[in-house]
Amino acid sequence: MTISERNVDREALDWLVQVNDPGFDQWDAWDAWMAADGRNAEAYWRLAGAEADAVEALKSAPVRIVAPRPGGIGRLPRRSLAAVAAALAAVAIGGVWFANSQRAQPWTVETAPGEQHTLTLADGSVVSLDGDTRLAMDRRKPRDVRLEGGRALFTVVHDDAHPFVVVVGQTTLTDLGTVFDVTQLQDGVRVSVSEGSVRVDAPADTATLNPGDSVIATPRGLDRRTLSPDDVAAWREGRLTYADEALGVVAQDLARALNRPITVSPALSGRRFSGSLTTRAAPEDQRGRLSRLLDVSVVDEGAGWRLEPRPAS
Amino acid sequence: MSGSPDIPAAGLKAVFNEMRPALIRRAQAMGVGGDAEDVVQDVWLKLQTTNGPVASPHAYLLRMVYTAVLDRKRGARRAAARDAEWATPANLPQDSIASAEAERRLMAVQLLAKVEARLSDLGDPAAAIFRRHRIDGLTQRRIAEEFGMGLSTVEKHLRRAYAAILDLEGDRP
Repeated sequence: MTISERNVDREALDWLVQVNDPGFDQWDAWDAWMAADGRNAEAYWRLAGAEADAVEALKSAPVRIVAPRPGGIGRLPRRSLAAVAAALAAVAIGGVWFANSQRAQPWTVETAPGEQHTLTLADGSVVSLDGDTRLAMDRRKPRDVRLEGGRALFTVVHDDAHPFVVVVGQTTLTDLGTVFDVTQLQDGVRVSVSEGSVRVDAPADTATLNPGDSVIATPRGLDRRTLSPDDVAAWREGRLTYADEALGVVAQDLARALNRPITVSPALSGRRFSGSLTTRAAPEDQRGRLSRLLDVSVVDEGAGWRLEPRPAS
Repeated sequence: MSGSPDIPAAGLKAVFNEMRPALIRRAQAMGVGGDAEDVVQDVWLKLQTTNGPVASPHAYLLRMVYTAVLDRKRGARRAAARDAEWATPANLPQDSIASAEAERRLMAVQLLAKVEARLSDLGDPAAAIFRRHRIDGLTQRRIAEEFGMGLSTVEKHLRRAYAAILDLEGDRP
């Protein structure tokens, strides 16, 4: 009895994983399985409902705080609840949590897609996280942080004796007194400096950036561009500014700012863009605006948008 | 017929009208009984605010019916749980509406903490793949490209993530 119930759950889970894919099209086969045994439908809707509740809860999280990973799997849920509460308190009141804790532990702050969040670190440095961004820190070394994905603007309290270091993949950024923006892109890491300077140590090359300098560190080298220092932090107000930027990079920034996947047709791979985009327009106007400003067709694919060449007409 | 052109919103409504009886049958088969017509009516209302072309209207409408049925079943389950809870008079305070709202919020926070803990316990890449798929809405195919792994590996990780979130034993490694 128990074994057969577990098998029904297992089959239901297999179906749920498939049905939840936006590309699923085997509705007839699914229908047939659901109708084959009364227990199938019961198990399926029970699991599907619980999973949907969980996803809804995850979507509702304004800031994703990932608890430190302690040993002892059995104790994890309770500990995590306490860690979430503690981390939330740390976010709210700055460094208090650091001072009170005895044992050093890594911790992570993660924002949900579409949600920005500002964090004050123990040393007074301020980090503005864009949506879908993940920052890993160690309480023993509050001036060493690791950007594990997304985009963040760092306003660093400078200390000659203790440089502030940001690690992104294989690239290391060292502040020399600074406001700078870091974005993880598909093909590398973009660093843009607003004030002060930053040393970039990437596997392929090394550079010191000054206000208005921006590079994308890729496995092939440092791809340089310039921008107005004032534009570096403008994404927080919903403005993205470019000078001769690859459309693929613009699309990645837009996807983050608008919180939806945006792909670029291979036919547009050589396209560049110069200009300024507002990402806070009313959603119903956004597609039309982008289409005009980028001179592309913006095709709605349900889960996301796809940029394609405009028809010749 | 994968090369069929995108159908604009007006076309989608036409497809809906054509498919209406089939959609009602689908909803019935999904086990909502006499509510099937209501479910399909809900879908029609949602269509009014759908804009932009849809690549595959047939699949799109079936997905909408499925989601509407699932929402109904979730709502019924929640109501049943609430009624069971409140059947005892001791649990019926004067300001029951306010406390129901507080209770709902507390449960949401607790559920969120539990789900986050289970994902963190599971670790990446399974947890990251689950978020990309279910929160960001990427297809399994896109995720396979993004993570540089095969489709079956993506599915395996997703299966583990679902099992962890739903606390299904026997699916743990």
